[in-house]
Amino acid sequence: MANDRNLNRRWYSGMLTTEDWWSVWLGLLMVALGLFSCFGIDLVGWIAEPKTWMDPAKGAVVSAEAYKGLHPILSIIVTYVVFTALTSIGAAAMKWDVKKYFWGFTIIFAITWIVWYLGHNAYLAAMSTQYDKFGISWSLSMGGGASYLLALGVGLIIGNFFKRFAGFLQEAAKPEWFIKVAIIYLGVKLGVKCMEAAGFAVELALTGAAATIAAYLIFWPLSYTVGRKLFKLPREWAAVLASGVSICGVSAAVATGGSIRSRTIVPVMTAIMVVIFTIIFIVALPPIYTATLHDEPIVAGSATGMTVKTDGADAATGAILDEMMVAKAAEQGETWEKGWILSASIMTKIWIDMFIGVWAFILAILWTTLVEKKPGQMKVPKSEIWFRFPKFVIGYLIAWFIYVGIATLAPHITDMAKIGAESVEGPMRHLFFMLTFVAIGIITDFSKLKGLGRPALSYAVCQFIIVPPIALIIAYIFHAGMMVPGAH
Amino acid sequence: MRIDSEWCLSISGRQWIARENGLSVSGMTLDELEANIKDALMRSGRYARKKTVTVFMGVDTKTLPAWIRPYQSHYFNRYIRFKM
Repeated sequence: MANDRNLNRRWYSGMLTTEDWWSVWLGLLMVALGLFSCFGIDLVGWIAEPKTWMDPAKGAVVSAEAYKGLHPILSIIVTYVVFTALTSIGAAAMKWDVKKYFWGFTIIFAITWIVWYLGHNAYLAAMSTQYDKFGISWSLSMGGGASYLLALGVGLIIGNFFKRFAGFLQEAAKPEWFIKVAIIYLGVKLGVKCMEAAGFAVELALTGAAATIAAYLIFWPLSYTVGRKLFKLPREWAAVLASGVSICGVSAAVATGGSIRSRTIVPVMTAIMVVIFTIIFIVALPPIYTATLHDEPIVAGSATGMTVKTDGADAATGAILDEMMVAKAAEQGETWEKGWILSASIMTKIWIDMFIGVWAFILAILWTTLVEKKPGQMKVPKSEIWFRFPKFVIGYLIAWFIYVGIATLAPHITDMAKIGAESVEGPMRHLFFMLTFVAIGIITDFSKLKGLGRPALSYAVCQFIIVPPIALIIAYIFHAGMMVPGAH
Repeated sequence: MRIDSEWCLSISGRQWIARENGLSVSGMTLDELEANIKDALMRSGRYARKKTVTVFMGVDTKTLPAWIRPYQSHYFNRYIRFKM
């Protein structure tokens, strides 16, 4: 027997060697530490976060009351030490170059905190209702969105104009890892929100699932047909591109490439297109939806989840959209709670992620029984679904259900539980979002699109002309009238 | 499922390569590769004539570029069965 440990042979393969599983461990570790607040011990409140500022000395605050004596600079250092140590352990387990990872993460962390802080300057972030408070007469009123766009911009400049530096940072520029950790922290937020609006969260989950299935049964055949008929692509290219553009970007492209046994070059080239084209959506979609869908914020969030490929880019777009729509509501005198629009986009994406394994399995069966039937080929093992299942979803659901469980089974400790939860789903999640924005920019090199020809054209036609309007219509059908809970 | 022979798949340029305890075969397509695996097993003399052999093939996850692995670290596993 071959003893190669890089094979996914057993159900537990990769638990200590893949980023997907490491996002579960990192995510759930902090969720677990946060739960100590149920017993009156705050183990996560040491993290700091920027606040809108005019006085530079007041631009960062420590998260929890228990750590108010900690200077914000010291808090940032503690945060750096904790997350550098934890992610470096993960990097070592995954057999990365730990020294390179350490220096790369250190630089990315520093860039992240600088742009996070600068993005909260009152001229960029303050709402019009805060002008008096900060002594200003104008502001771009972008809320936290300014930090996100700055982070993306700085990352893109590094990735496209300082390529040697970007190459050095790439060992630590892991947007998918960072965003999966952040999404698990978002599970905490959803759990806490369920304590206040359980019915809405369940409705969001169910309608999100229905919308996802409806959308992908339309997207995939359309995209495949465009590739085959309009651009005359071979089957393997058309199928992989259709999954990349219609399901969930890189993951789906690789899963489909495996299902139809294509050469790995096909999903790899598709992945390059996915990563680069998503940047356009991160920048363009939030202002468009903010301007046109103010009365339908959940529709906007869900449509974002169906339109933008890769978890990192979807969460990035959802986060900017959330900030911009909440800021616009504030400008109009309405108070919307942050996080629901982002949750709508993430919820949709999570359903899609779970759908990838099932779709890849169906495709593998179709390919081996209809398209390329071979004597001796055995049934496609069901374990293929599990190997492709996004493991971070397990962490997200555990985090979510723990807090739902507390609210249901031990309501008397709900307030205590919220103390730890607030640091995890607030500053910690925001930090990992920020790391994601910087990392996405660093790994995005627009010059890689050169020479991709017809596949790139086919991808672009589907991504920009077919997917967005259908996503919007389906999001509208399933989410129309759903308003951010507690809006007033 | 009882596996008689477990092969590790990789891709070098345009060629599929399969390795199993000292045996190494390649093919431009998966069909060609599987035919070569069958030949290699027959030549190895490990299995009796007319015995039905179940072969597992798993793609070495390291053959995917490092930057793409975070998105999806699994390519595919494949089982085939043939008579020696």
